[in-house]
Amino acid sequence: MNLRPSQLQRKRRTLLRAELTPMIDVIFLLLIYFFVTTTQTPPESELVPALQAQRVEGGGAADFQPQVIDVVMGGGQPEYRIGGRVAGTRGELDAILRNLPQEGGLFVRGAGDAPTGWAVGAIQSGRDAGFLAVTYVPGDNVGGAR
Amino acid sequence: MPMDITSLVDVVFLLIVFFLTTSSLVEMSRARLDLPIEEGEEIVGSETPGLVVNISASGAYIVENEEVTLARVIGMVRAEIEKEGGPEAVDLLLRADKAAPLIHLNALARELVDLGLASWRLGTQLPAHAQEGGS
Repeated sequence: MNLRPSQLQRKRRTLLRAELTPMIDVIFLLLIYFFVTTTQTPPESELVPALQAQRVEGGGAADFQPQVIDVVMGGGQPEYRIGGRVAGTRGELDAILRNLPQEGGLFVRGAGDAPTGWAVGAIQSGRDAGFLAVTYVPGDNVGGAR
Repeated sequence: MPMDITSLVDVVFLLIVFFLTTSSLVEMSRARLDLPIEEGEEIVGSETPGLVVNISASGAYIVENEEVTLARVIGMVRAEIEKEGGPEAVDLLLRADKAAPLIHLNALARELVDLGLASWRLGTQLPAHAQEGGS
């Protein structure tokens, strides 16, 4: 096909307008930018411990006594105390909770200097052991042994 | 008629900026904390809590990325109670760093009881195996 010079010039101009390379470049750079700047946030879950103040603890008469876990600092390390027993790990606490009657519910009482993660762990262990009612009770803010 | 690519790129760019900005606003209430790694439990109810209170490892109360005093947090909870029409309707999510001393959680918990708020949600981070399983 023979084109006259003016027709050839118009065709070249049209081809230049349809150039996709700059758009792809920009989109590619944007994608890299967002990949680099985006931070992955880990998925979260939730626990629902009913809240109870210490002053109303044991206020009502009940057929079943609730179990009480104290989260305290013992010798510089956090530990769980339940009845006369002491658990230094979650595994030990789980073993104790599985052998306890669960009808009366479970109170988790955290001393002020104990880490929050340990109290949350006790609530989770109570749920996992089958306690239907798990209640968090604010403990002494000075912390330490009872 | 030839297609003008420049305007298309402009629109795409603006859309990306818009979505990036709005998604950042949604994430603002989630302060970066080292949450306790626990499975949690199935929550029946709304996915998005009404009020999110963060407690950092140093014990600072953080609401919407701003450090506030305990009195200010209580003020916010009180306002939420008034807005929702009672403490039973308030959906409070507490996100506490696992290393934070319980003294700060206890102080807030006592105030919540005084306000009549008997239940709240405690944020945890899903373990790695639960994340992979999609639970």
